[in-house]
Amino acid sequence: MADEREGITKMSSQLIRTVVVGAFLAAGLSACSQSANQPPQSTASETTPAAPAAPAACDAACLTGDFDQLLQAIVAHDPSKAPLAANVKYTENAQVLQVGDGIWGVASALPSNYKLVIPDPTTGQLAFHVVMKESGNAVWYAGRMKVENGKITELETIVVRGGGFANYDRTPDPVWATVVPPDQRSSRDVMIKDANMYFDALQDNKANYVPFADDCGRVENGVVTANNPKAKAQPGRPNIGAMSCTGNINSMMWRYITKIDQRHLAAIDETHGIVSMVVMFNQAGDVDSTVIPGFGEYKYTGAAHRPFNALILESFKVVNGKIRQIAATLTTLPYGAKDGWGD
Amino acid sequence: MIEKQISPRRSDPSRHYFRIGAARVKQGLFGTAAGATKRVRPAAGLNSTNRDQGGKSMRTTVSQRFRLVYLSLLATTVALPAVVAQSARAADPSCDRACLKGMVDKYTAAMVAHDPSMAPFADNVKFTENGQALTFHQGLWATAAADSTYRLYVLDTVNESAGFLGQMKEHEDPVLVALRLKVVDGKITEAEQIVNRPERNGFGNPKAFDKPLPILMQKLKPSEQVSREEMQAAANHYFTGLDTENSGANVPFDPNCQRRENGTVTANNPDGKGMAKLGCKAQFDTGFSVLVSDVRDRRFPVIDQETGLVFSLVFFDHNGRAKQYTQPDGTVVPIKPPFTQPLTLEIAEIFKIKSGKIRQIEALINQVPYKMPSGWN
Repeated sequence: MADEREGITKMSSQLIRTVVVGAFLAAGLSACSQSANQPPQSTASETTPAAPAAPAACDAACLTGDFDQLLQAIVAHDPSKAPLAANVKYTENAQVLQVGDGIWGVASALPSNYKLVIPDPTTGQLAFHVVMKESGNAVWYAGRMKVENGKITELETIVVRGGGFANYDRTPDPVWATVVPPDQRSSRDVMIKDANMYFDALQDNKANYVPFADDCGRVENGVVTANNPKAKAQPGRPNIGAMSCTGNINSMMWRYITKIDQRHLAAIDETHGIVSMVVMFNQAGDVDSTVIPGFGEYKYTGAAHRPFNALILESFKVVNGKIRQIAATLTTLPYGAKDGWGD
Repeated sequence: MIEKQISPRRSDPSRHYFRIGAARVKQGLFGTAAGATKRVRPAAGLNSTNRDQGGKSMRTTVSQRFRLVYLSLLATTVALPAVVAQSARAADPSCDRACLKGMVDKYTAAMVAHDPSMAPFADNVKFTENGQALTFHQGLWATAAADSTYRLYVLDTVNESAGFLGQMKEHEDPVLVALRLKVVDGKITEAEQIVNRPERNGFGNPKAFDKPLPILMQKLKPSEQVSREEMQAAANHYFTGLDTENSGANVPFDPNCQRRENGTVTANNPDGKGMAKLGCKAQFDTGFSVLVSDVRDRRFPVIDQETGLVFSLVFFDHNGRAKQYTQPDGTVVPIKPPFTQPLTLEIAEIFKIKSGKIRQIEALINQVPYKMPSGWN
């Protein structure tokens, strides 16, 4: 846990200001106390009492407008068409690139079938999961955009290229578009806590304390990976994909995920009840096996038995205090990789 | 889980490089079920042991600095106790060839034993694997299960550095390992390794690592040796030929030059077809390398005059923007995936320089995030 806290803290100065919340105390999990990222709502006046009045905030429509402009600029291969700050920082798969490089040089089509956008006027950030094209090939493109004073100052992105673990034909689950009635919304703090509990549960292989809705579903790179009635059992292993979000984690199948760190907030859409975080999954490759309840020992082979990292933007739909849906966009990185936004 | 693979392509010059992207889904990283059932059929030739796989390609890199430290006075100072007393440096004779080779052997043995205390590390040693700073309890240090029988050494007593290529085992699977060690005062101060985990990252032929090709290990006759600077320049010309010249015109290729990449013969392959059958220069002269947008961060840290080996480390960036290239005869060849999207290869390339000419090339190629730095800049 210390690592997570350190990771978040390191990010805080550049991404979002951090307020440490003893999030898990209420849940009786003091050993897992979390850092949560919070906007500088109440602290701004305290830290900059003499600052001039801030320009008009960028509301949700403003943020999504900036994002659409950004996508159009990317497809046009022309950074000048996006409202970029002169010192904008751009990362793609955790590597610092010049705007204009990477996907900017080869993007060939705007999103069509999949576009999930999470605007957060409170922090001036926007998270996104879209499917677009590079040189005619579908890619998942996801990340975090930050707008300050009308300009995009930070752009942290993930591009999933090639075949691999992905389904590019997905459309967003309709639940993402539903407005959560005010009396069914969670506070920002609670939503961040919920997301962190999910990551902690994956580390601990115990999900009983995560507030999953019974019909919680998960889609990773367009692939349905939990609560999937169509999932087929494979020889020699339980049908993990058919399990509920809780059961999927309690299966102990993800024991090879050894640490989830570098967590930081991408955006919170309070209206739609969505919280998005960028995190790094670490797989040390030194976990040989797990024991799956009701199944027995399961030995890891192949990729699960090798060191690697995965950079992930993970979004959670929270309704009535329960996690109803999860969307993740992820790409693999060398083991030990940093996200490019730390110190 | 994602298991990207680079697989060789046969014959078609337009595919001469190699192909990445045939990927298959294994059990799903965080997912399973639907993901696990969606499989992408590996391309023909994937994991093949055939030597006639065509077109693979070359990797390269670019550039840069590298300092030569000459320790010319050591011999005499060691022989003179009075001088030794005044020279801290002389108290620790430079690491000779046997010493450097021993460093490599101790290092890989320690890695398999998961016990860094078995290797003579300096207190401030820096270690990276695939460009990431790690501890000696992480990466392959945590997972190595068997040392390599294939052992290709490049030994540089001037730079007190060793280069190494081998094929170890990570748990049950073979992995290719390129290693660079820097030694100061009898201790390893820098350890840099590239681990190519084949199922994830690369095409190749794991069965091709029984023992190094004899030509690589042969000592050169004095008449066949050239200066360290000439050796480095020859290797650098290779990278420049791919990077900016798109031609072999200025690369000092021996007519018999041959190249292996991850164990697959990808140039001057008598059993190959298409690009793999072409000689090194003829391949360069096709102009295919317009797809390589940059050969970056070229380093030549280990130069072995006795064997004529240059151990280089570089990155090949492919920005994906080139659409086609034109061969000398006017044939226009379209560039195909995966080179139509951003892609970077981290490469350890070992050149045999004989009489100033590139006679043989042995390379390890590892796909990494686009534009990833080496961790040593």
